[in-house]
Amino acid sequence: MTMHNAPHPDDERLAAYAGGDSDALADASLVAHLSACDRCRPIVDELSLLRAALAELPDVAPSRPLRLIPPVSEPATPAAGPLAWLRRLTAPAMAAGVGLVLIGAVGFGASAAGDLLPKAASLGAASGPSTSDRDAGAVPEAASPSLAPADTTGSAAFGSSSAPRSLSSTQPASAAPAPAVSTDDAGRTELVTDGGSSPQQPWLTLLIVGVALFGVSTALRFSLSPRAG
Amino acid sequence: MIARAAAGDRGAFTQLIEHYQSACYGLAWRLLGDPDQAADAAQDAFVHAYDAITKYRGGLFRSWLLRITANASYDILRRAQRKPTTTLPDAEEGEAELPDRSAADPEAEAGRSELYRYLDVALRQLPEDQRTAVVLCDVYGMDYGEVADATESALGTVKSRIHRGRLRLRELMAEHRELFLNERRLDR
Repeated sequence: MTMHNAPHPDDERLAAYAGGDSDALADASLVAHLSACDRCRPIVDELSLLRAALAELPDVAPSRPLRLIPPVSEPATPAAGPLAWLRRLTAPAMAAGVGLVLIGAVGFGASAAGDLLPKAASLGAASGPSTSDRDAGAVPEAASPSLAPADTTGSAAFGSSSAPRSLSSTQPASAAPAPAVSTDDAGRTELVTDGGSSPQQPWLTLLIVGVALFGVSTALRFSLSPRAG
Repeated sequence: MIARAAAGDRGAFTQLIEHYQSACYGLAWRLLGDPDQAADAAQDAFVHAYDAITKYRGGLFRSWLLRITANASYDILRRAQRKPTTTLPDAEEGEAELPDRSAADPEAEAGRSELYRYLDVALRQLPEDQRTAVVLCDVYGMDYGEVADATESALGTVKSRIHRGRLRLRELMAEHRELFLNERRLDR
């Protein structure tokens, strides 16, 4: 029987019916229409066949071999664990090394400057000629030969036992570990320690430890970084 | 086998995946339309499945694995923001594994094979959202709720996509209607 004048249901409704949607199957007017409509019934039949064919589409062979299971990482985990943990520690260790270097450098500089000025001033006053006198070239003959090169004085200031004993003749005998003062050509006065502990010593230690920490952690980080392959 | 895999038996898991890898790859290939992406999606799915196998709580393992594959494929789709594929698939891009049910009737098997090929071509021509919904529902048997979960879409939206996708497929397959009719005759 053909229904010429009956309004056809929406095609999506037909698709729902063909797909077995419960609400479409329970729609009495839709069911009645389909039983009588030569236009809609074939659409539903065709959609049903289409669904059946889709459900039978075969599987597809992979285009390339697939890894079916993740690579074995479990057995390697216990061994890799401490190394990975160690590697993770290298970053903060490097940062700590840099921090120590900075603190050591700043502390050392401040300490050296703080120590140098008052002592140099007092020693300079005790040794006779004033700075202005020396600037004028009136340095006593005994003092001028003991002038230490600037770099030597610098290293000696770090506490080296090889510090030149300049101005030793002008120092009182009782002041054994007292620092010496050297004066360069430009008239700058520098403090020279005599091998004992100095105020700069902790800062210097901090500096060295910082450098060592940074170096070791950097080397560890690179040696423990994963390599391709 | 599933219990052994869930207990951490890698050999059992490998055997399971080996058995279902063509189904997973086929789903990914039909969703993504690209063999390389499909292989990536299938492998992602296997990794997810391996991680989740201890949480597997029964039911059809195939369905469980296909849901994971659908999610992995959809993740790739979302990342790539791909546009609908309108080009016809290269015959070498995916080789359907035809069932051996009609080996005695080569002509029928050839017709069926042709029908499947045209269907895959037509599926590729659907808009991406419709293709995803139709493939998950009609090809791999997911219900509307599962499709909605996999595609993160509302249930009504999924139904509409499936219905429109079926209608569009019917139009695309109009030239090959006789293949359906042959199939129906063979089934009777």
